[in-house]
Amino acid sequence: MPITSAPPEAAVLPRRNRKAERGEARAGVLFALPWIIGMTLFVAIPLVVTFYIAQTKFQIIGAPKWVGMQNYEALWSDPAFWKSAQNTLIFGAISVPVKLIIALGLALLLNRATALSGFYRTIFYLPFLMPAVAGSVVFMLLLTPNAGPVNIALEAMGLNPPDWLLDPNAALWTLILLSLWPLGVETLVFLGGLQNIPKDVSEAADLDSPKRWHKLVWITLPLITPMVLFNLVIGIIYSFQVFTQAIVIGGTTGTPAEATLMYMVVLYRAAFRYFNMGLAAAMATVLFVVVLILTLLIFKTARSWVHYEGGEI
Amino acid sequence: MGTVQLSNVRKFYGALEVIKGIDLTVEAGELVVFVGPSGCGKSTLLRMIAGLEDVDYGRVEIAGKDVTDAPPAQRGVAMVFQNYALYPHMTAYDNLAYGLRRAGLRRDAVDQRVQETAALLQISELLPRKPKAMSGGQRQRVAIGRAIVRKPEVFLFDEPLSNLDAALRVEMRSQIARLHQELAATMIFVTHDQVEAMTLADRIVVLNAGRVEQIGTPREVYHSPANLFVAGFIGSPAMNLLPATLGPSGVALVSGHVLGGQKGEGEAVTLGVRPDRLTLTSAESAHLSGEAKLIEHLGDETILHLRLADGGALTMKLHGDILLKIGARVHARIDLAGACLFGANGRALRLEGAHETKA
Amino acid sequence: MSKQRKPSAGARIGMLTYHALMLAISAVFLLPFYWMTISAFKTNAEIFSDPVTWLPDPIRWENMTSLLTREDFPFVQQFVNSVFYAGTVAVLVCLSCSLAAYSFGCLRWRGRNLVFGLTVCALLMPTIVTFLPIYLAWSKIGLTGTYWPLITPFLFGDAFFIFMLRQFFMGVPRELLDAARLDGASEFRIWWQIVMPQVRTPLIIVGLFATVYTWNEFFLPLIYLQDRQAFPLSLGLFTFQSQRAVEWSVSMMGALLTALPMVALFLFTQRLFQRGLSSIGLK
Repeated sequence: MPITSAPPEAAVLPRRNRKAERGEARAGVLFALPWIIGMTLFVAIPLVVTFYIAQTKFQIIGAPKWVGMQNYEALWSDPAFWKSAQNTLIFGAISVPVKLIIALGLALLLNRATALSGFYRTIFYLPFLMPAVAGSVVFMLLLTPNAGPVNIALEAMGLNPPDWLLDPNAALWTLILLSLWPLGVETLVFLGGLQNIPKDVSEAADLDSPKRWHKLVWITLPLITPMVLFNLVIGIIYSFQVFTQAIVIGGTTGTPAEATLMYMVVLYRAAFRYFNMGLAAAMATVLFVVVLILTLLIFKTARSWVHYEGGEI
Repeated sequence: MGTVQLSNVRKFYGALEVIKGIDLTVEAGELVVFVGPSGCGKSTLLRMIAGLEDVDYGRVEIAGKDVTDAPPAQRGVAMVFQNYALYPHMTAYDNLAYGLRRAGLRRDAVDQRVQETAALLQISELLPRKPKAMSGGQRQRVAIGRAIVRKPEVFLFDEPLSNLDAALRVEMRSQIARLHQELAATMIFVTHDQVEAMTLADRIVVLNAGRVEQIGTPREVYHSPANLFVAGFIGSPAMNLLPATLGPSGVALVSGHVLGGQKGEGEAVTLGVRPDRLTLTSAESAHLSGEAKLIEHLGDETILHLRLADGGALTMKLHGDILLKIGARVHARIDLAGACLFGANGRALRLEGAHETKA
Repeated sequence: MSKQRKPSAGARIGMLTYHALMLAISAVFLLPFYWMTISAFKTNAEIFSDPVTWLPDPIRWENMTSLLTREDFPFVQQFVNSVFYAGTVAVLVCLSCSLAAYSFGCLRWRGRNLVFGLTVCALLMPTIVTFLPIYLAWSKIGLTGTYWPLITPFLFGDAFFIFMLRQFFMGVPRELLDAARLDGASEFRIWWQIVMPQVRTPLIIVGLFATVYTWNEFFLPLIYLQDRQAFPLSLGLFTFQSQRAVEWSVSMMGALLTALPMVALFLFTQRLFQRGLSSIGLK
């Protein structure tokens, strides 16, 4: 640790040249320097500029013109903004927890050594490797009303399936359903957590109580809360940025009837279709604030439910 | 081989002073062992000598040169680490050669030094192997080889034996002692293991909370601890520390028994008695009596833990296998010749009638 | 980790139930892959046949040749673009991120925790929040339409991969660095000759992840690239699909051939992937 405050009697003593640690510290800064520059160039400066553009009228051509809060006022009265925000919130609020629960269930199922374990893991992971564009296209085909295999199968079972992506009342729910498919990363992160539980802890729990669910609730779940936190935070942040699936399936208008219109799609539309950079920047700023507040809230509550082995890092 | 001289060496972590002004001279060819409880600063001090940690104030001299600001590689020190710290991706040969190459030695000179060292440590057949393919003891020998090959002024050992199993530890200990003889090298050895300290050291430095509590030969530290801390820390089982007073006819225990020796005017002192300086006796001639709470049979000796009448504890180490039941009444007599006396400030007092054990 | 060791009847039934359940779940996960694959070898009419046909008959290999020769979907060129894009990013990520991760994981310096904290913030920051000014800058320089905007940032590092690599660098014992310092190695040499060889496997893992992420990247190419010939595969597939929505068999063949390289890469290296993932989230 670097010296932060001088000891009380240091004033009278000559300060030593801190050679060994200074060499290491200099190397530390040098090695981190490219990334520090990168963060400045690609994160810090753009972040500030985004806040600035949000307060201007800026159409790419010409200079930005200061308009104060006008862009935010325009957003406030823009139905597409509200619709997309609503869709995105519903999407995130349902997709993320459901996905985590399924992933956790799968991880618990996977957490035993059988001859087929590797096979199952591979299968659950594969959807993550599928480019989102390709995956969405395949689902569009699978869920084609009337002629698609899913509906043919459901109809054969005597059910009355919805029109999935074509029904304005069902399309958002279909999108949520599709988002559950690639849960390999979440599952494997949970599985990693489960397998990191020391064997003696697990065995001690077996000795303490023969009931499996006791162990699950009192031992297993608390020990993997760090993974829950990680998956939850990343999941929420990414769910707010859902874009590829939405634009492949709903285009820039969120067909059908704006049912699949997502926040990022409206933002993209504003910036790169209408070249209204000011409005887009205002939307980006709103997203930033929402994500910031949510993340802080999660981390704040995390103290009370996340268990960290040995405390710090 | 070089001397090591520390002058008023101090170190801070933030505002916390971890090394509180240490003066120490290690003579050329001497093997000095730093012992102390964990967190006492012994490893930090060693790393400061190595140049891996800064010396905030004070001077470090090695072989007469001020190296306080010199980088580790230019201090003429070599270090053997607790976890060996062999480069896992290199063969034993490359591990030994790495430092020499960095020092700019030519290829044939490097080869010669590596082969010589390997022969000395009998690790020639290990040279083409990587650490992964070696046993713990073999890794330890290669790690020592890596230190020797650089022909340093001073060898530094940072708890190098603590990861070995008991049998191997004894073997490596004697090998280090042998090396010390053969190379006539200056060595500083850090350990928390008293047996290592007692068997290896020419002199022991007992550290506590960043200060030197005592510097002395193993016999001095054992027989004439400078203060209560050293008395309690060195020796296993630990020395019995009994409250006493200096009365008109000598040292008096709380129980009223007068042992003789120093006379005084009722000053409170502490009497230190090694467990093996207590003998079983009859009730009439006993200095102390208590109830056996725990009896450890070690085969050739027996360790008795007593609860004294005044509530204090007493440990006795007796020769032979003594058959006693827990709860039995035990009477002990103190052999004043092997006892120590400490004043109210914790410092040792000269005890009249005790052995002269100064070497 | 099942508790029953003796193969009692109950245990055997339990095992069978378990595998039946797992296979059923696997089937659900595999269905889209399966459907994509068989549709790629059917005609449009066969894709939508009722009742459903589970195997293409005959196998329409001509779908593949027609995909590879189409003007409106220059698949081969786009494949090459994707390989270049993903490969370059993977190499850059390994180099640049290992510098920062080494600094955060192995070296002690004042301000390190602050800079690492900012890195975690950058990791959590939605891309779009910083994106517009970056886009405007690139278009001002006149480099939109090229791969420069897609690749250059990785020259400096990437928050996620730095975060991931740091875990592995933290596992390198400090004594190893100390030993090298005593041996007279410079800080740069310690990084390159002593520490980097210890993290070779993690670097491959990170490279693999970077490859998959970049291969599947859609948003950035969509915005920066204009010429079909310059598109990577995911964007090419999107463009084709949105323009020729009815040609399902070609779309499916395109999707299949886009996904296949990543699936193959994963199958060959899946143990590494799992090691990478199980280290995440430990914080």
